[in-house]
Amino acid sequence: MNGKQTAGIVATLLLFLVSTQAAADQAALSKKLVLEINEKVIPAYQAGKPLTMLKALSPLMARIPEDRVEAVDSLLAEHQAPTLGELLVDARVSLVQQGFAKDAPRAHYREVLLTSTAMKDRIETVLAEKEAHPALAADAETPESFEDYDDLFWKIHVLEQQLANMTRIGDYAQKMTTSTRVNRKRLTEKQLAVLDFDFGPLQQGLKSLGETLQARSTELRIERIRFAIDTIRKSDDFKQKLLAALIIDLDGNHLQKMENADEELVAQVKQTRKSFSRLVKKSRLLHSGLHWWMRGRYGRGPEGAGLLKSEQALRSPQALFGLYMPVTTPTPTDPSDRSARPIPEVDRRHHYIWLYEYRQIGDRKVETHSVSQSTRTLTSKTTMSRFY
Amino acid sequence: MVQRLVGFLEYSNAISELELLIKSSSKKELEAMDELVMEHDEYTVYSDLADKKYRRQKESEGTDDEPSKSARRGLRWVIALARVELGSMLAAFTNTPRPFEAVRPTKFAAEQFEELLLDGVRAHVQALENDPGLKQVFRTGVSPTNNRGLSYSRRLVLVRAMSRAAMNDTLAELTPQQERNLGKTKRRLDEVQAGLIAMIQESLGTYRTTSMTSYSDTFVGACGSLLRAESRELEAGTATRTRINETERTRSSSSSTSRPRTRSAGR
Repeated sequence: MNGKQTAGIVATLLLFLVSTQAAADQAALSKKLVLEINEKVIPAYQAGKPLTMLKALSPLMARIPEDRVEAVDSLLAEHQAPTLGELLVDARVSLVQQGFAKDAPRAHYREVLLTSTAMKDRIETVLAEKEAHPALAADAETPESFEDYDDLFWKIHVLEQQLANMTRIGDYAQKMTTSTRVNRKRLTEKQLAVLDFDFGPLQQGLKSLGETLQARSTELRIERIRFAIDTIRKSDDFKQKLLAALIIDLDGNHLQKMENADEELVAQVKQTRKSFSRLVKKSRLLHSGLHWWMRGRYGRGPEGAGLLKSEQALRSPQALFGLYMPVTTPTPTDPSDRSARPIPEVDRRHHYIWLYEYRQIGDRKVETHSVSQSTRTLTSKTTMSRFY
Repeated sequence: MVQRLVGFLEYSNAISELELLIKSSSKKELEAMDELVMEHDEYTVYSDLADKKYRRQKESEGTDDEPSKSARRGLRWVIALARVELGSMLAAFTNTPRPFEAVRPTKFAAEQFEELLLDGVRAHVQALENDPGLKQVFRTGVSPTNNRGLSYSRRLVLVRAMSRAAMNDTLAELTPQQERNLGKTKRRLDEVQAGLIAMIQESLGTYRTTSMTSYSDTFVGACGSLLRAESRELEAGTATRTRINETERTRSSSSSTSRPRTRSAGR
């Protein structure tokens, strides 16, 4: 028997053993439980519906003691789903982040034990990022270009968002553990420790890190203003001077609103704006024009599959201005590439706008909903979470 | 309605700011700004959307490594796209007589504007040729329960305005072949529009002869803009009367008292 044959036999044996073990594990679960997981939990997970999934799974926790968790994990693995703990944590965290935490079902104490530790771990992971974050690390490099500053501010923004999310998760986890209904005498010491965990110090850590980040962000803005003033005065590169003008304009406004702002720097900003007023004006026109263009290109309205603003837009400036915009700066895809999700969703608005019919013949209002065009049908959706 | 279109306010403001910028900037400054815009992926505009040959080639290549040949970058393309979209909205939803001329660019983005305009005409024409919905409209006509003819008529208004603007010799030069093709396309579009207008008029006539006369103002108002535009164009000499192909009007109406005159509308 050669090496290949031996390896094959060993692999088959291992697979057999694993399958046998999995089957044995699942045999420990009741048929009803297995059915509910297969028919309600898995489909909701696969459809990306955390609330539906949680409503199906959370009540089942009463029937899943600690020694059955592995069996459930094995069943979930057959559907390429995460472990029980991860499913529950991800679903609850998702609802917290979307502001739907109050709609989530009340957690059984077994679920609390399983999930609160995972939530604590996630908060601690974010807090640990402080040491290596490029804006906060002890050996952080000084940015040398506007692009470097942009990159750094983006990373600060990402961490700020993470801190905000973790704060919400910490609040939620604390409420979950303190409101759990359980006979404490039935719990082990380890379980009691999890239930009694105080998220307060972690919340304080998050708040403190947020303040540190804010202070560092302000420092960087001031550094960037100085860099911009230097660039606009000395550089021969018009592009760099244009960027510098924009920074002086925007960050200069922030500077003037700051308490205890360096008066000398404020005076320098004013003087530079005056000396390079034409450049500042061009910078404003360029960036404002491009900003409006981005809204026209990537913005979605609340009606007409994103192509229309509401009727309120005809009466209200807020409704006229408001659009759903992508959270991250989009990169458009090639419309001829059908394998890619289209970005923006409509390659040309004029391909579709003619469809919207508000006129009628006769007294019956008939709405035309059919979509007929040469390029593609709109089947994809863009997730946007900011409306401004 | 035009105010409700996403992009109308936005592209209007974008053009207003960027045109002011162009007027106040030197050639060197404009080139630098053009380069700045080129460096950002989000401002990429894809053209040749109607070019099937390009799409087939792209599919056969099956590679993502090379940058797409139809990916256009730069301030000129940004401005051109805004103008084409804005012109389309004006054409489709307002009575602006020459909507694309109203948003006509300066020399800075003229070539790009022309390319996107021509591409737009081709895309719409290809779509109309392959659209079973349009054929269905000619089979079933328009009625209180079927407004699709109005939507298609709006589309024809839009595309005809695009093709008219593309043929305007104050913009970038067209080759003789391009001019011939455009002329042929425009004539065909005029015919289809004439058929739709005739169908709408017949529908108006049909319902006017029933007891629903109390709705006559609504009927006229519903299609008044189209009919008024048509009269305007005929008076201005920018529209001509043609016979339409009888087979396009297969819907019979027993209550119709007279056959409406067939004419192509300039709008």
